[in-house]
Amino acid sequence: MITAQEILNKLNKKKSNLPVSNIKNIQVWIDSCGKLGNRHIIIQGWAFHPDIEDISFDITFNEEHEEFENLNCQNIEFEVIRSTRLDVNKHFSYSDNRKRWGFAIVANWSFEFEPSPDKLKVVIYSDDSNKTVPLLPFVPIAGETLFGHCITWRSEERLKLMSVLHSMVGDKVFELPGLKVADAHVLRERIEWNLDNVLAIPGHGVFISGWLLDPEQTLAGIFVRSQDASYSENLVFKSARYPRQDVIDAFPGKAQSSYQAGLFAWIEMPHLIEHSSLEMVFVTKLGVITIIKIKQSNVRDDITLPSQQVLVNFHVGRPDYQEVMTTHIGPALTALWDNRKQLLGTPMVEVHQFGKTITNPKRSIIVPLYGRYDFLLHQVVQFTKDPDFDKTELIYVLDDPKLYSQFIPFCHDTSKLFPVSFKVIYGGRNLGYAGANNLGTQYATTDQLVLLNSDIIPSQPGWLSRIENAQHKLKDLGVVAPKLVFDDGSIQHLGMSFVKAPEFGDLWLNQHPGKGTPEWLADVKTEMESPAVTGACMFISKSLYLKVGGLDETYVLGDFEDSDLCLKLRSMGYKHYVLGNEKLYHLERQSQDLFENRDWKFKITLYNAWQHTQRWGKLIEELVA
Amino acid sequence: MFLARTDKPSHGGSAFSTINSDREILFHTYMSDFFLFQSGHKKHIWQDFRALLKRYQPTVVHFHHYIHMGLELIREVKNTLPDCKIVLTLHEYLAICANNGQMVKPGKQMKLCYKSSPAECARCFPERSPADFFLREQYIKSIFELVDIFISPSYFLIDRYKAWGIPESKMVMIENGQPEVETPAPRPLAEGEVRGRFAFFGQINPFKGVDVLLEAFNLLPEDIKQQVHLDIHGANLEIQTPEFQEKINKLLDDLGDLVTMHGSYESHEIGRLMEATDWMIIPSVWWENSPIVIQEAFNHGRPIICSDIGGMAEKIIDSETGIHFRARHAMDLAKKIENSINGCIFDSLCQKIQKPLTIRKCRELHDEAIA
Repeated sequence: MITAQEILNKLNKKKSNLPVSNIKNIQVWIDSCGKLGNRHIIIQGWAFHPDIEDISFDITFNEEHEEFENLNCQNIEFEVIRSTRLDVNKHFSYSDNRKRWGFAIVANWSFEFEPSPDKLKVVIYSDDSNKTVPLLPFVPIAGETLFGHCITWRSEERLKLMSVLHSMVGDKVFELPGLKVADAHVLRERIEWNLDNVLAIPGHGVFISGWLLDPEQTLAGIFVRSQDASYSENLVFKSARYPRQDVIDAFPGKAQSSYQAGLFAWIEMPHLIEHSSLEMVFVTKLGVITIIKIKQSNVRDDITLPSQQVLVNFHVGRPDYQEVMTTHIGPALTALWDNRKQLLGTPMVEVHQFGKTITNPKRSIIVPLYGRYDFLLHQVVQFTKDPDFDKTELIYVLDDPKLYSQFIPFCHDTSKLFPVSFKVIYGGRNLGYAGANNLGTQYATTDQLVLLNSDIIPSQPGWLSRIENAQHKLKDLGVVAPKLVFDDGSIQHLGMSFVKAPEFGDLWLNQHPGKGTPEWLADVKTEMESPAVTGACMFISKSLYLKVGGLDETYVLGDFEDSDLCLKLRSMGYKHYVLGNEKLYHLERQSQDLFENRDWKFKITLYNAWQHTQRWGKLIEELVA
Repeated sequence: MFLARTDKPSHGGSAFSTINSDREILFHTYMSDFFLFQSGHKKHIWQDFRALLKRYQPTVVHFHHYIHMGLELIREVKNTLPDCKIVLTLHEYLAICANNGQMVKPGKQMKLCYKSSPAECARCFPERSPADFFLREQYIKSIFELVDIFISPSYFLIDRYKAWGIPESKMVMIENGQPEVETPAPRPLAEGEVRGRFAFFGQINPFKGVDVLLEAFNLLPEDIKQQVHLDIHGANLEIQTPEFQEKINKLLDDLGDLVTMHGSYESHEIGRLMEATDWMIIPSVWWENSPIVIQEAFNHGRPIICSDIGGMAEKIIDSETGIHFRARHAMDLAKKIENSINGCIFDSLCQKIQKPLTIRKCRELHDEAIA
């Protein structure tokens, strides 16, 4: 059998006489023709073409074959990988190591007959000329032989081969017979890893986080495999990486300090069943496979800890922040909240009436209560002096199960002492700001909704009817809100606007222009149109509220729901107004000022901001232009 | 009917019991929150107190206190008897100041406070936010709005509540009335004796300035010390902080038999105690309102040396019915003590002291104000 060396020698002799750009002068050699199971073939070899920048490959049926008529000719789907062949360079005494002479053609084989050199041919094209390359007999190829000709391939080229194989063959590539399987301890001779958290969210997917120390890039792929043999995408490409100095320190000399050992990823698995066993599949660039079982936590409705685990290693300062949010953090958090909602089902609602039921109310005020309930007393004390409350349906939504046992007797005492009627709606769990308002709205019997925060205190009686009267003359009315001030009289809210935050990947954040300035310095007018208004005190028609589906419950822990509602309405042509003559106090709680400390809640806020920007970025651009 | 709060247990847990006569009722209740003056058992208010109001049907309810019972009492009167007049006598600055109504800032220095605001108050109580104080003010004011007339025994207190937001038109100054007694003659002096018998009446706590008083005596020149004596009629030193007790005890040790500690006294004993006294000293380091001992001293014809602030400065006219010293300054007090033992000054001041308002007249003034 003629060796590659001999061919090269022969070819080399003629080299000096070759005309430029002649397709005939391309030197081509086939190393192997293999069958990958029954569905795929792989043809490997090299093509030396120093005078031609680029050539293309085609694999077709041999039309001259006697059976061609019967072949039921179809196109063959294939992919070509070009690779580095230093051996070819050496024998042609060619010095540019960047040129890739090697090739591997991976093709789908969907025909009933066996592939053979007489039925198939490879054609090489350059411009309008071409050259047919005869093939070798196809032999079953698997495991190590797949990579037998890849000795001088660069690692990214091997990776590409694995990826192409994976994309064509699918996850079964890891189950090809003959692939070398190694135990974890063998793999640990080359790489180190640990999984810190594996959060399995049934019907949604898996969030994994941990670290991987593979500075030599031994791995071609890491996959998570579920019990039903569905595979994740390749985590080598589809994961967020970040620095883990503790890992670098634990393995001195193993990796440079700039190496990013930290790893987390959201793995979408819509068919994941509860308590499915999970495995991690490692594939080295040499095609060696290691499978380990992984322990997971099954996430249920209590998602405080899981959401912290999702966010703990997420850093907004990093350049890949947006990408990581879109690919991993956002979907993982969405899945956590979705799953919680599904598990909890429809709230079992309790309704308590304190004082007499108001007959023919003119308006319905919805006040969610969370964390602190004494605000109810402070509001009721003020409402007691306001005759408007004789015709007001006051609905408190208790959104904090921890408070329930103290809260109900407190309401009882309060209503005995302060003659204002109110209802308490309790959904049995924390529904979030949007969920609580939406629940409360279901119990509103009037069309005039007033969404009110519990830390709002009126400055004088009669505000409800005055605002209602004022809103009748407003055009295309969506939401109307009063001016809100802090306890020292400085502005808390005069309408909401948006500001782009370059420090957080250009997300749009809500802002309250004029916040903190004394009123005389702020530009206060009787009626001011505003792109959005705060949810702390919102007047809106119930039918309009329901038409847009109320406040969106996908925002987490109360943020951006108000501007989201306003923007939804704005996109339909409704306008929002602030009434500068109406003043209420808003004792905005300090804990809501999350942008001061970058903790978990802050990251949740950014998640909300990210969702909000995804939805409304374009409209906001128009509004603030 | 007289209603007073007690912390003693009642008959089988009832809200009320009687004492002395069936017109004097004890209210066995308590507060759970001294910040907002919240009743600790609100059923006592909306059930028991309500029932009492319904049965008795008063036309006037006159509150002297809400602390230890709950501000809700005032609300409840309005709930049950909307036409009943509500009168509230203000005895200190409880509504304005969360530091026991003293308008003195917490901390060792006990700085005097001139005006409250949510931001200022939150500085005194860092564990609370300005918003908490804002809510407190709004809450108390909304209850105070139900009060028809505020009575204060001093103009100084009226000014403070006016600055805080109570309309002046709702406030009336009526001094505390005194029993009608014959003014005892000045203490008879032995040959060569000076007017050196000084007395302090009241609680021994940091606000009352007993420490300033003892320091002043300690600063007196030796020859003066030979001629003067201080009688302290007061109690409760043992419930003060260890630091304060230590300070007072050390001063008492230094002063030896210059000072006599008499302990507490019953109000009917006051005449006998006054007879043995030349001067009363009121060295309070807080504003005071109208300390009853001022009127008691005047009722017994005794001049007063007092701190030159607040209700004391209003009630005691410097160089006419008493002598002012610079509040909190022991040295100044010592100087004033030294000057006052001279009989001439004593005699001239005694001549100008007028009989205070009688209980009968005080009652008439109340009737006029409420009518």
